[in-house]
Amino acid sequence: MTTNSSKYNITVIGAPGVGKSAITLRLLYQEFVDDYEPTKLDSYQTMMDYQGQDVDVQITDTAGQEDYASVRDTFLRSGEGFLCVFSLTDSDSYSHIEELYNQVKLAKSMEPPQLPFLIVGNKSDLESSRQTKTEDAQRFAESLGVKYMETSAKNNENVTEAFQFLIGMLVESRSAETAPIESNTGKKKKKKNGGIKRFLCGLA
Amino acid sequence: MHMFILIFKLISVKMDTLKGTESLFMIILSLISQIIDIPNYSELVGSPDKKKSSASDEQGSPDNSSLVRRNVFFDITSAAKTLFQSSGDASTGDSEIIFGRPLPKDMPTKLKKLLIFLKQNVHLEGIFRKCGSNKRIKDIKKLLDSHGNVIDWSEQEEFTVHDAASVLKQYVAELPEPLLCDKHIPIHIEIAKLVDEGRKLKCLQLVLLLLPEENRMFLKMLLMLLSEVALNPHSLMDSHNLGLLFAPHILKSNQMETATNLCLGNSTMSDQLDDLVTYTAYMIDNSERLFQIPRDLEQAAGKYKARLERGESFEDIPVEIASSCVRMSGDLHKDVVTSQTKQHLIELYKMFQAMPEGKEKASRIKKFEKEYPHYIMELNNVSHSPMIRTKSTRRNISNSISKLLHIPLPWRPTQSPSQE
Repeated sequence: MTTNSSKYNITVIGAPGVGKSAITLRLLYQEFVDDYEPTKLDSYQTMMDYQGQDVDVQITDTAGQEDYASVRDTFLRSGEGFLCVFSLTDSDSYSHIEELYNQVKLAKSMEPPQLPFLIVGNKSDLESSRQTKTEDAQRFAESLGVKYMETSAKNNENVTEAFQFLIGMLVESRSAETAPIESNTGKKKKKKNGGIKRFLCGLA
Repeated sequence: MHMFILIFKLISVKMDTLKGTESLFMIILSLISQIIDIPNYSELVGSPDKKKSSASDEQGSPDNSSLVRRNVFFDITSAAKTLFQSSGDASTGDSEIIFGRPLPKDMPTKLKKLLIFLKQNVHLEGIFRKCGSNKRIKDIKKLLDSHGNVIDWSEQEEFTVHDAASVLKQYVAELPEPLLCDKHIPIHIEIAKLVDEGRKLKCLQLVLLLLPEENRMFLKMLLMLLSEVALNPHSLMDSHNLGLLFAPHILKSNQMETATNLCLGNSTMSDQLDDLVTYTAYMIDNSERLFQIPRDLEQAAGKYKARLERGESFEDIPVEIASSCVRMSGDLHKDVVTSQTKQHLIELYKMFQAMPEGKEKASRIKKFEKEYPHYIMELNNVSHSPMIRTKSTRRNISNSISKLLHIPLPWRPTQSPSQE
């Protein structure tokens, strides 16, 4: 019971090839995996530190391809926080953000600021082939009422921060619901599992 | 129609073309059945209007036991008709709208041009993976669905290669019936499980011969294109990656949709999906060989032709459908077990009775009668076999025969039946 109430679910979405898996694996392994293989669906469990407390996080890495849209849609409904990734070097992937945002809004029947949704422009290391300006993305995010960040899975920039941000939103929204219980479960969890990162399924 | 050309090439005998198609169809099925069990056999040979009932029959009806080594005669005119013709109303090849419609008999020029454009760009990184812009994809689809307005791909700069690749993928995805045909999907799922390369290839070659010509042609062009992408190192798209993207479409079926839906949570489903992805990758890797005619088929057709030439009538030449595994209901299984046990016990009893007179024979018969009293009753009452009448006559007969022939009766003392 305590495990369920303290597990946070983050679903990573975005167009194909923008680096959803790279960001996820960077967070989990602290290394850059540049395998060129489309993801069907991978799910991971990890412990993350949030303001000195260990929180149990489940990360769902989804397929960007429409070919697996049915799988993704299932996870839009069950997801809690959404990391919506595009590639700064691919303006097409940027153009997908709005559609994805609308899908999530519809699936969760929630809107910002309640909806934990973060737009992430990845591949900030490839500055020379950048196609989307920071200001444009920033302005666009603001128009939707969500936050925007730029990351580089390759150079490990802002990856942990992006997840931390979503965790923060999730923890706060949940503690607003069940304030007294939450603080207890957090302490219990800390004793149990000291920050070990665990793989459920995925690449070896 | 390609099947007829094939028949003339293989059998090169003048016969009614529809009959020829039927027999070739059965020969192909027969060869497939030597490698795998055809799960939906009755659906394949059934008439289209019986399709639904035969599908539900398969759930538990004992009728399916008749599939075992059954000689199939040619009451299957409809089967050949439905199998070698496309299912839909595709005959109106001039239809302007192509998306969401069955494959036209002749491939439209606009589709050919799209394929050619993609062929010129197989080196592009992430081709078929990256998705292009949804808006532009919609625009292309609208253009392709309108009359005559064929996009000049080499001239235009509006649309990217990724847009075009996504359009092709969506075209395949939106076909009302999957490219590999609904009723062949169960066979493909079986083939995907095969480990032996040779058998896998042969089986795949055979089942692809059953496709309607337009499906076969389009599949061939598609797989050729994908294999070029896979072979180009700059695309970064190997056959596995491409298989991942195309398997859900070309092998789309009820099972497949469940597989993608439940691909987490359920490991068997996920495994099946992986199997089909590997299978699609295999098809891409072997795209050239897939469309060759296996030698076995030529030989089988040749033999068939020879028998026809010897004057045997068409209907008298049986085509065997092998099956090593038959689905049956629990009751039927019980019946089969009982009757087979009975049969073997009768044989055992016969063997005892055929033994030369002596202590051993007496003790065995006594033991048997003690062990299976109800069988003895049944044997004596029901059996029409002259071997099993009353004991006294039998004994006399066996004695006299052995005396007459001076040979021991056929019994095997080494295989002591009581120990079995």
